[in-house]
Amino acid sequence: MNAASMQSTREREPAALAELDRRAALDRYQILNTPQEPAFDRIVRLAALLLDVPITLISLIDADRQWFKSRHGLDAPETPRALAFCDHAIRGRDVMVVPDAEQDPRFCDNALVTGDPHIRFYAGAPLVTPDGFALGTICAIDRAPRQLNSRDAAILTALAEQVIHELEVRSALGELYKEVAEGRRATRTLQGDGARLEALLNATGNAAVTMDPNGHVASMNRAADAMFGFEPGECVGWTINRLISNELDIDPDAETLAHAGSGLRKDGTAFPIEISRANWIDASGREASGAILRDLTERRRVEAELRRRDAADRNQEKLAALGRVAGGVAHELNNLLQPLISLTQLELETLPKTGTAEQMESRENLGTMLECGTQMRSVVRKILMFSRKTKAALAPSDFPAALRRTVAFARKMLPDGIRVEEFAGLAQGLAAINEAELIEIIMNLAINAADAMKGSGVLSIRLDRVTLDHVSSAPLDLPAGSYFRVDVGDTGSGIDAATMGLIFEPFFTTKPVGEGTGLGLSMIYGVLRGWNGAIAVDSAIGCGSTFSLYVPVSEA
Amino acid sequence: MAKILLIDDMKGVRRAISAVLKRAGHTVIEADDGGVGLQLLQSQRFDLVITDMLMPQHDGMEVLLFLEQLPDRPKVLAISGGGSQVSADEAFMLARSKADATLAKPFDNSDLVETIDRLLKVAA
Repeated sequence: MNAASMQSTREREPAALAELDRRAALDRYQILNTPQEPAFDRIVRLAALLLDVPITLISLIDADRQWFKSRHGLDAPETPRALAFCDHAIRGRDVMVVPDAEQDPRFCDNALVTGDPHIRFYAGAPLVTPDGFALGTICAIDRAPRQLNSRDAAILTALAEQVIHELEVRSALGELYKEVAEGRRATRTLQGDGARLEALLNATGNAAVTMDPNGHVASMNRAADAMFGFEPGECVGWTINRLISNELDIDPDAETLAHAGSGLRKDGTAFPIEISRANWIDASGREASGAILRDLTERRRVEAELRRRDAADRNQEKLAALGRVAGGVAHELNNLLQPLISLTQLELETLPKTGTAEQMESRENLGTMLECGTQMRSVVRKILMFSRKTKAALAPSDFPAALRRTVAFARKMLPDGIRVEEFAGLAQGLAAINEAELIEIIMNLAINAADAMKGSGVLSIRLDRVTLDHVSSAPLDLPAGSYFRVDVGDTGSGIDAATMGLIFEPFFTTKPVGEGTGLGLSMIYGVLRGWNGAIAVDSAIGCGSTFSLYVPVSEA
Repeated sequence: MAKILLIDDMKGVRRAISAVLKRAGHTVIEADDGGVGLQLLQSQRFDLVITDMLMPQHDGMEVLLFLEQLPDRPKVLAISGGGSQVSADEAFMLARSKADATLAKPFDNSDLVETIDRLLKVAA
């Protein structure tokens, strides 16, 4: 080490020690890297206003950077100390002024001058603590050269004193200041959380309702307002019982949910909901509660639809199985029935019409055999209709005319006590049907109706052309569209609920043994499916039943 | 009265139909398979043939096709009870172009007698 350098080190040593003391003082204020605080922000805003400059900063000089506790008009939170004008300003006790940085040999090459933010004018008042340490500055910066008059300098000095005052208060309050600051921050965080939660709640399709300790509605999200049909805020303050009830919804087939209930809309209609409750202690330490509500209407509809389809599928499976069995045995049965029927008929012809008691009894026995044989023949034929692999040919037909012919035919076949009333209306159009099958359908329904009315009553057959939208067509498992609806109604005994679920099942019959095959309605169901139509039934005990046939109207 | 060949693989059916036809005054010769029927047709002359459509060995279609070759063939009545693969309708659809009449088993005696009378009247 030579003499010159030794001297230089000695000169620098006290300066270096002073700098360490200065930084220790800065550390005591525990201000570096703390969040923005309104007290300091107010001061820089004030400085910018009073001095009419675009940029004002509270700059604290750290080991190798200047860090801005507060800044106005500048985005950077800190810059390297080597570039800091303020590092020069803290060396004096007065306001340091650089009227035009480009003309100042200390700063003309400075990156903050040659580049962003293009400093030309700088005025910095040192922030000097009561024990004499300059922690940094409050400074005013402009992008154009200018002068600082004495009034401006006084303002800047006064504001520097105000910054020191704030720092002193901050320091004196110590932990308490931090708590206050943190409390404020926590409030802000909470406000942020609140806003976030509210945004989330408004984004979900489920309804969220909160209640105060008295069970009054405190808030409802948008989905809740929409679900119940209210305007935002309309229900706040209501008792929650006006909106939801824990009573189970009425669908007896629905899967029972642990938290099922009913919701009540503004228009008075009820709908099934699932309720998930939550409880918490609110800001005032009271018990509050809330609930997430799910509208189960759509789910119920889908469930019901699936159940109905399952039942229909099971029926179709039964019919398919029946078809396979029937096809296998029909040939055999028909061939076996031939001699039974032929020979019995022959024997009946042979026996004298009058004779001994024994001969008459034989005649009666043979008559019963023949009756059973012919009944069996009709059962086998009906079963065979299902097993038919090829569908009946459908032809576009004038549906109202075909129905008129069919009804005229049915009229002749029914017992005298049954009055047939026909309401044809003005329905017009074509439908792809098989007229022989239409006769079969109407005859089956008419005979069932005649049985239900015990041989005396009114059979009404009504034709309408209806348009089904997707809501009304869904329960029928039909697409929306234009349909002929044939209502076949009787004034008979009606169908009870238990029977209702079974009437379309193959082989289900309420008629005495030997009088029905239980295939009629099942056959009708199958035929209408083949026509892309459907059958529905409406019945009331003691009032009669109405079967509604839906047949799609053909285009063109 | 007519001489009728009855071809059916089921004994009960043959007995029943024979009884009805004999009661009506006809002569009936029975065959229990299409093959036997064809042999009888080659050696004898019949006024009318009644054949089942579905038989295990030689079925009714064979009988119908053979008869078609004959220059002065007898009238044919095809009968069928349907089966596991083919319904009576479909069996008859095949037969309809070749046979003069069809009856689905089990039929009434009156239907049989009327059909036979009609065919023989046309033939006479």
